[in-house]
Amino acid sequence: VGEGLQALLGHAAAEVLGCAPDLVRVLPADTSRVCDLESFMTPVGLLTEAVRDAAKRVRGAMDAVTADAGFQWREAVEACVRRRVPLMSHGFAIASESADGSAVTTAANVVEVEVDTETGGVRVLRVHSAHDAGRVLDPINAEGQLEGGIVQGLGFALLEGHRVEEGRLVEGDLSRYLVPTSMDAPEIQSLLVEQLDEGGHDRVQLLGEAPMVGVAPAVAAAVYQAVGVRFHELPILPEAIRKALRERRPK
Amino acid sequence: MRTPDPVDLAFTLNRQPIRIRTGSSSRLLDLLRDELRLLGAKEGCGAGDCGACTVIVNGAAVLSCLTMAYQVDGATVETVEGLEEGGRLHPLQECFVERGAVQCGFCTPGMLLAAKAALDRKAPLGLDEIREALSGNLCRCTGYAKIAAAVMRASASHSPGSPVAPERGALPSYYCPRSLEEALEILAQREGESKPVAGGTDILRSCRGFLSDRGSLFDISNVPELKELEDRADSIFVGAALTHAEIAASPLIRQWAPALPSACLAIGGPQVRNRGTLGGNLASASPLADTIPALMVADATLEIVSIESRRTIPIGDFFPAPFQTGLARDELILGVLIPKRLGVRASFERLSPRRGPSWAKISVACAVSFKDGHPDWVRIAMGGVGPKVIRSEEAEAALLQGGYEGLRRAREALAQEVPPEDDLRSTGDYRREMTGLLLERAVRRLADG
Repeated sequence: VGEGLQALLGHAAAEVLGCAPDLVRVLPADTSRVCDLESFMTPVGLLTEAVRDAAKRVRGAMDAVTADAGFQWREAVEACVRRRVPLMSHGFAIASESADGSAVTTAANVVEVEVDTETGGVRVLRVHSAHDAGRVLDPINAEGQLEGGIVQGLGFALLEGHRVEEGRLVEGDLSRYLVPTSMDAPEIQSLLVEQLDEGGHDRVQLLGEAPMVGVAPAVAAAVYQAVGVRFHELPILPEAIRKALRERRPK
Repeated sequence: MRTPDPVDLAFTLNRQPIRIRTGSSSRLLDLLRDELRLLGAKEGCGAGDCGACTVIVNGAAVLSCLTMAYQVDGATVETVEGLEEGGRLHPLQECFVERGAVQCGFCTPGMLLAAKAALDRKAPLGLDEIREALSGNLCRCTGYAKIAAAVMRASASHSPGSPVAPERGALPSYYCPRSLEEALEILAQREGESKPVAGGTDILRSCRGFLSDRGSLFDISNVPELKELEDRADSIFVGAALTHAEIAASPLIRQWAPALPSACLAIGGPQVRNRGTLGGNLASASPLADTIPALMVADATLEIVSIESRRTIPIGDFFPAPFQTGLARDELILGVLIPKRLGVRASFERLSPRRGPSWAKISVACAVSFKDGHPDWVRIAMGGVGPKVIRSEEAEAALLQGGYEGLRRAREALAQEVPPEDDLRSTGDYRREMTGLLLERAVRRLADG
């Protein structure tokens, strides 16, 4: 429902219909209109497959009308309307017994940091992030999801502490809960590793959350390489780094 | 509680002259969204931390949540709705679309206007300059890469539009005095009931949500006496309503109070620096105000006026307690006097939790003048470490002795003065350690010239 699902479903439909993606409007999911899909972990491939199935039927009905005429989207739709051909369909996708039904994302993150050992300040210079992205339907959007997730991950790793005192959030506004700004965001090299369809299902998946997950561990590993101290608590603040360095090398 | 008065404004909005009546407690953001139904500017935080409400006023990016509506009387205002011309997207918008710089879209109008204001001033811009120009605008979903790339692309062929001559409205002078005398009279007559607002970046932040507080404000940013920057025989005078951006760009100030422009550049993002003023930073009396340590090491004196009197007070004596000043209710800070000290060098060092706008964990300002290669005058002050800005005469004396031993003793003396308590921005231990380091970095920088 987040993670770019709407855009993804729209792209899947547009691809089959042969129209521009921005002509497709995806209505918000509503439990009163769809059957129970059991779990939120339903592989997205099943959803795009169902969308494709419905789109194929619509496209089939259109092709029957326009026959061999050059396919101009607008004229074709108008022709169908004139001949009272309904352009409407339901689509289906059913998980095969053999497929395990889960869409596991594999990712690798490399973070380059510079640690000022005098102040304990960490500067992230570059992040390289490779993601198994299934089949990429919208490359710019997919890359954007990666970049956004990475910078959020950096925020969790280095800035975004939240303490609760007497039931109140100490970092209760954006001057205290500091998220990365454009000056804090590093250069990002992202790599979408495409995995094409397999097991009879669309290898399509979402990219919104996964990119965040690996960043903090990679930052912690990079800081360890730089200064030789492991940190097990986020965010890794300059205060903690200095304290660790002080305790390690007593004067 | 005072009910808001109606105020009649005239200004130029997106190339069109406009006349409108609004309430005296409306912010520019309220005027745009609630009355003009221009919904592009967003209220993200209402406190100047997110930039989603950014618009352009007289060519500068400003925060419409921290600007009173009547402050744009006679100004030229640009909002995202005006970027498009004749049904065609502005090239910046085209680049945002093409480069995928829009995800959820909440920050987009603010980003576009922050970028346009920067490019109108200077184009093309380098990547670092672009990231700096956008640093007052938070985005949670793009990671900024595509936004910066879009601005970079637009930057290559950007041409600022032709300026539009602003027109002035019929604003009652009560809200917008045009001379010092008028302003002081308002203060004297409505003693205790009226508060001056200039940049608004602090006072509107603290009365967010309180209509009654906003209704008692009046604008002093058009008082010419407060905007003066004067080169006098043995001092310079810096008017209280000069903005942080203006101070940062002044060679005169850089010559005689070199730590002050650096301190001003450390404040907020571009939007805050474009409107926030020196006088406001001092009157807010926050122990975190970056200009205070910078002015302390310049031996600055405040000039304070009321309708009946005029007096001066050294900056060190101006703050009796945190968030309190020595200002009487009918008094105004006219400006700051900085004595000229030949060959003075000064540095402002600051540790911040992030590179973008943020309060300092600790800052150290240091000013030195040299004679025959040795320091013959030293000032050291540190901010952000507790309830007040601290000047350390002991550290100054140690540093005057010169040499490595002098520096070591100055570091120690300074660390002694740091309150041991932890607070939400840092720990006492860390600050005690860092204060000496910042001093050493400042001294090295000054010695290198």
